[in-house]
Amino acid sequence: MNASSTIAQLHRERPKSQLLRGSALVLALFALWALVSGEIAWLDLFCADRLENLKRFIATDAYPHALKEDGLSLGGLLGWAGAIFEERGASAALRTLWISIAAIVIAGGVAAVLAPLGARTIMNCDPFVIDSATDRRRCFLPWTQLSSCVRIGFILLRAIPEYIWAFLLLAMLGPSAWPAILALAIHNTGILCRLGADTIENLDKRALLALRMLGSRRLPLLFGGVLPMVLSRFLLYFFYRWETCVREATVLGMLGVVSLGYWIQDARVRQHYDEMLLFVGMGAALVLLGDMLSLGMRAWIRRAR
Amino acid sequence: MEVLRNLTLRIEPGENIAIIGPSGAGKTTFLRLLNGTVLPTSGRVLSDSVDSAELGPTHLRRLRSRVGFVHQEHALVPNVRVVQNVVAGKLGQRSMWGAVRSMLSPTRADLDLAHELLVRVGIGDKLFQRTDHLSGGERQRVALARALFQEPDALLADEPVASVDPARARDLIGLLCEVARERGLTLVCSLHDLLLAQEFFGRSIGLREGRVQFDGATNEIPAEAFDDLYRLEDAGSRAR
Amino acid sequence: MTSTAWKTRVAVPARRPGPGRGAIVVGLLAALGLVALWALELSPAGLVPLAGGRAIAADFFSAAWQPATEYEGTAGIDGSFLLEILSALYRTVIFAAAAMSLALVAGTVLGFLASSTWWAGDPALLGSPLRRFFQSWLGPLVQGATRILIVGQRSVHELLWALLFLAAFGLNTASAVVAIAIPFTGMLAKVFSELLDETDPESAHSLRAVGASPIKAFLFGTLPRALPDMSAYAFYRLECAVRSSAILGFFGYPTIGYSIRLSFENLHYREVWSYLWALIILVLCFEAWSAALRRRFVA
Repeated sequence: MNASSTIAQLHRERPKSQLLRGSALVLALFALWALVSGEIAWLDLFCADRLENLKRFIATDAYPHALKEDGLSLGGLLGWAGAIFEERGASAALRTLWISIAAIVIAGGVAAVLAPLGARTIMNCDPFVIDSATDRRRCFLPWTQLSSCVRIGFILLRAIPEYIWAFLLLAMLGPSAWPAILALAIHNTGILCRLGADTIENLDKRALLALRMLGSRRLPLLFGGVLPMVLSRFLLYFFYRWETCVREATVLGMLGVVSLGYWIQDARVRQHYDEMLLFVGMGAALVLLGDMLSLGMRAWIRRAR
Repeated sequence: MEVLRNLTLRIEPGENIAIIGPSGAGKTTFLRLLNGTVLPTSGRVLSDSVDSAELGPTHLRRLRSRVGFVHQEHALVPNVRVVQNVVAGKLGQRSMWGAVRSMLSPTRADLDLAHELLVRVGIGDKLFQRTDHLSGGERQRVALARALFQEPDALLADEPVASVDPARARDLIGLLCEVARERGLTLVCSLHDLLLAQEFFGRSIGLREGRVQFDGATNEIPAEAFDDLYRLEDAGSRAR
Repeated sequence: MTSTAWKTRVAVPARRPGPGRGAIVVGLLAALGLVALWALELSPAGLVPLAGGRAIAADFFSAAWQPATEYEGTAGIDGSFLLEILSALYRTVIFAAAAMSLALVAGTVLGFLASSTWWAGDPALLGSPLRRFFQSWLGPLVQGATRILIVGQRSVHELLWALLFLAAFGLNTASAVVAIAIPFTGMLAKVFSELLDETDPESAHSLRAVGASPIKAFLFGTLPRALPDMSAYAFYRLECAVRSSAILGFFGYPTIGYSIRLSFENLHYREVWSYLWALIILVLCFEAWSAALRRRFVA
């Protein structure tokens, strides 16, 4: 057999993943279809009406109303923004922050308890001893099925967007901060559980196996071995999710909870777009602040590790 | 930080040289000096009587592309096919467009050469396998095939057997020397293992803390000189 | 018994993140959560639905187990409800896919420009003054500007972008897609740049040694190595995009959120649950798909 036919044969027999190729193809085609199918009105964005609208928005709507007479000046702009910030912005921003903190603490607490239930290395006849003879031993509980159910539960928690949860809860609990907090907590519990369970599954099994071989039982193993090993990583995720909580808490106010979103919606309804832009800007600043705090905390945890 | 100092030596075309020394002795830096990935802070490195420090970027890259560098196996891209890792050897000699083409769909000639080289290093059937599905020794052979794919004038090898068991290490070094001999390539190879150096290399250079400890025909170097490298390794680690 | 004592002893962790520091942090965080509830003047009593809310809650959650398969209160509506669910779901995914395809392109470019590996030149190749200028001035400048741009994109929520565009352009589907695409571009770019910078540079170094330019070494050494993680993250973002596009329905765009809101306000809770279950099943499918892909990538 000559070289080129050998190469051709090797090429034919190369390992290839139908799943990978199929997925890439499906995703690419669907993306293309989404862009060109006409469901999204791209051209409409550039028609005369829209541009007219945009021009009006920039020239009149977004122009700070209070400064119509005096003309645009930095001092005037700051004075106007400062007054609104003092009057409504500051307290709303603070409430936004508290809502996000309450939500993530609840989510973190619940997730810390639930996450191990989704880790297949623990939810096992013989924790951390996988593929051993004991694996086939008769179990008291159907561990594998249990952990699969728990995992699906995690997905259920996060499948519904926070906004929809908040919308539904608001109708039941009435206007307080609870609907926003619960909505954020439910969604983030799902995500933190998933991340926590994955972290436990990816732990270095040798150290835990060593404890296991010394005869440690499941719960001591969890508190003595797993918890100290995952704590710092779990805290990393905690702060990473807190960051997104701040983002979402801003928006959830639009449903009627007095956070920044409430005033955004309020300004929108009254068509005071200048104020709306200002509150959006405040929201961005708050998110930025949250980002930096979270970044600082995560850096601190990484160093302490 | 000074890694190498007071280094004066001459390498003749076709020579077979082992660089021996403890970790941190400057072996890797020495090899990088030879192909121009590191430039000396003082002194000169002449290849074919051209000073690498005086070359512009383009010429310096051309110099690198003419020197085959056998990396340790973990420097390969793990999640692409073997053929792509081998063909990457000619990246320095191709235009951007040619490089993209050769990586996505290699030409007939590229495939033939890559396959021929893989057959030569003993893993011809792995041409289209994913690189990280290969064993450590096989990956090291892929690294050698990549260096040969450059069609180089000289071969440098940076501890090519660091992560391979002793029996396979002997095989690999034997292969490396054989390939260099049959193509008339100059070979400079850094090693930890004295026995391998004694078996396969005509000339040995001992490095310790950036200084040449000995340099000469391997069979003329007294056993104590080798022993000194070991003993000095202890002194070195204590000083650190 | 000695054996029990022994068991307890081995269960003591070998390594802690500092002496009890983890416990202190956890305690502080829990306290902070309580402070938050106090500052918001909330009590557990607020968790009990109001009299009216209780009826709604009971109706609503009991409807969860019997989602509607056809319109409730069919007056004046024809057409199949199941078909309506599917088409709402389809539009939701279309919005998400369009937004993600924009965000993926822009996010990849910005992610490259924001990463340090992209700009890490070859120290031995800094011959000409032009290259030196490029390396020490232009590179950091563009990188810094890109990072600022990314932060700006991320810090405004997609819903707020949508509201801004709604005010500026009026109701237009393309602007909704762009509204999702902007913050998602920022997030993809941020994570992509971090993943690229965390990738083992060994592959790129080895390509430089064969004479490849820094750009080629990046494209053929660093990028393929980071690609599995980058794809996994992009897939997760696609799932998030589906959720975001669902929410945009609450502001009048024709995604599933629009249908949910309409049904809820008409007190058709069983319809609401049909939509919710449809959304949940969609996310479950995504999850199964991405899990299968992950297994493939790792293997």
